[in-house]
Amino acid sequence: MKRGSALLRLGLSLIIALLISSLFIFVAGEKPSFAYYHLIRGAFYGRMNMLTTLRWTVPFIITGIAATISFRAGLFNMGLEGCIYLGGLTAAVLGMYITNLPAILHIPLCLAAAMLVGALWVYLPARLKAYRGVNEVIVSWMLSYIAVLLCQFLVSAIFQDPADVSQAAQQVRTPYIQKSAVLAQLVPPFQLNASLYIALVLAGLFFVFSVYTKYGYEHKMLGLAKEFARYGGVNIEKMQFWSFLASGAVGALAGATEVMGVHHRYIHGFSTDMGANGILVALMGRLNPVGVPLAGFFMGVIQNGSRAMARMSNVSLDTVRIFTSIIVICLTAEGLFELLRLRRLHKEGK
Amino acid sequence: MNCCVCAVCIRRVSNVLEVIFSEHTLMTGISLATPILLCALGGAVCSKAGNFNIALEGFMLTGAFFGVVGAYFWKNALVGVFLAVGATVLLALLYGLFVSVFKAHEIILGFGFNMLAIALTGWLLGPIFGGKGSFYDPTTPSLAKIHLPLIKDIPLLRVLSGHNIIVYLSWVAIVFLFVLLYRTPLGYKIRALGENPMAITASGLNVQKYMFLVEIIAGITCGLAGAFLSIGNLSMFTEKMTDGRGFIAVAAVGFSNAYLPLTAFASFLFGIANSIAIQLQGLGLPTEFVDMIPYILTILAIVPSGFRRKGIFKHL
Repeated sequence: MKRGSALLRLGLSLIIALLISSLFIFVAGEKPSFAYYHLIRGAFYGRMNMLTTLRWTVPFIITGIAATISFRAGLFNMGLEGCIYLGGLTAAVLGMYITNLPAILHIPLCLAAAMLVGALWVYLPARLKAYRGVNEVIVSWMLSYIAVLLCQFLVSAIFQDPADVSQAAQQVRTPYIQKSAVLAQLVPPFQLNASLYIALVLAGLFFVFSVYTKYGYEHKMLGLAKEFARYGGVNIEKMQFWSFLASGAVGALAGATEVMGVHHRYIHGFSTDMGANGILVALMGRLNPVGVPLAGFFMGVIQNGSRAMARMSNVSLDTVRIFTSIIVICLTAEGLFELLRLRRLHKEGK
Repeated sequence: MNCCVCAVCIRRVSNVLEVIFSEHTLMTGISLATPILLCALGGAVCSKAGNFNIALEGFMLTGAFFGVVGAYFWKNALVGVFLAVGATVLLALLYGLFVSVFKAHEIILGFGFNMLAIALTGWLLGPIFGGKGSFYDPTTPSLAKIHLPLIKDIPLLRVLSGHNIIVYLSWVAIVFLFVLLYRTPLGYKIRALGENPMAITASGLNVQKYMFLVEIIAGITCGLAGAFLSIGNLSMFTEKMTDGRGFIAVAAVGFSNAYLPLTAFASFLFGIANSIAIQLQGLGLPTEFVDMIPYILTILAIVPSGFRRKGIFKHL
């Protein structure tokens, strides 16, 4: 019953978003069906499109899980973007300066270091929220801005690619990382890489944690009913604190996999709103360990397909942004669904 | 040698001090504070009515866009201001509909509205101005500077003169909203709404009506803030031009616990700190650190709320 209504909500939000974005496509002078056809075709048709869709799915799943970990504990980690950048930079720096290490050690080292940095970065909001009740939304959000600026400063002041300095290139980026730190491409020359496995393992671990472990249950209860959880003997402060740190760590992992798998160097601005998209994926997946990876895939389809759509038709990428934002707006609007239910009751009454 | 280094040091410090206490810094500080102040006033009223509004950023962006639209097509900056306020009020009403009638989650909703505002203004740039990313046309008028008689001749106080109408409106708004909230029956009801919505229902009043009213106030102030950004000085619009100011406004609300005089103080503090930072940039501080200052100040402002007995942020 409950699962059914959750799906109904998601479906209804999707329909509302589709209708409104169709309107925008129509106003832009295109047939909505034509635009959607190119979106679906661009996401699935042919090997290249399919692989690129999967390539985008990976960061969506990882950031989606990062956001879910905090949301399920009733916390809002708005600092994902900062963690992504810091994780990316950490992975790039370690991948660059550590030489003569076999890949089997080098890759885990980079990933672990990135996660550690991400966790440490959200230490302040986690600690303040869990033990002092300070609003975590603002602290983590502001820290996110600071992190992005800090990365920009660190790279331009210290780690800038020397080749770029001589060419006076404008882009802020590091040199390439060592071969041993690269996550290999699965089907060269396409960008899809071994981070797909990382995302899948992470999703699996998160599923097992949430469904089968005691801590997973406590984690969920904390978000659903805090006082109930406290009464049931959950150490709320500790749980909130560690959930927040884990969320930051997983966010940083997303940055590290992007750097090590796709760009092979840190390029400032590599995260194209990945943090915000993670929050979106978490909400769309209804914070469900199965739903979130599926939502990640859905967003991968949208991300890749919308580019094809923008290329083939007169529809701008902003239309897709309107689409996703309307989903976010409608998702938690209980009243919208009440409205639907009332109408149905009304009909049945007649 | 030592003496020489000392002299350089002293000159540098005196340079810095000169920058910090110059009238120019104050002047810039006031104009940097204005959008934050206006948004924060709207946010504080929302907060008093029990709505933690983080969509201020999106409201402001919408205002900025329609400000340019009005100023460009009617060749009159005041039309821009009215259009900005009108459009933002409409968006704020939509927000109010979702927050009070549809009972959506405030933070997620605010997040969605911020995304929507970015997408919508980005999309509208195409059909309205036929461009992408930004719009600038030198023929677009901007708001005239108003010089206050008498005050403009008094040293130091003259920084209060020579601003455009929105700046003066923002000062009027502080007093107006304060009187409205604390000296009228309506304000009493709005505050009661934040304290205990059931009491409002029990006394036979319509909760949703007051919520919409509050969102209209936020729409007006954020619309003015947006218009100030886009047509206050140089008439132009760029995508995401609000650049986090709405969030700084949210922080100002939190810092002041939504008590309007303190909210205004916090906004001016952030504005002037930002202005000092910009001046220091000329003295060789890395840009990134200068840009961080408002965010660091915001965090510093929020942290004490955890060590106070009462604070709106503790209830969230």
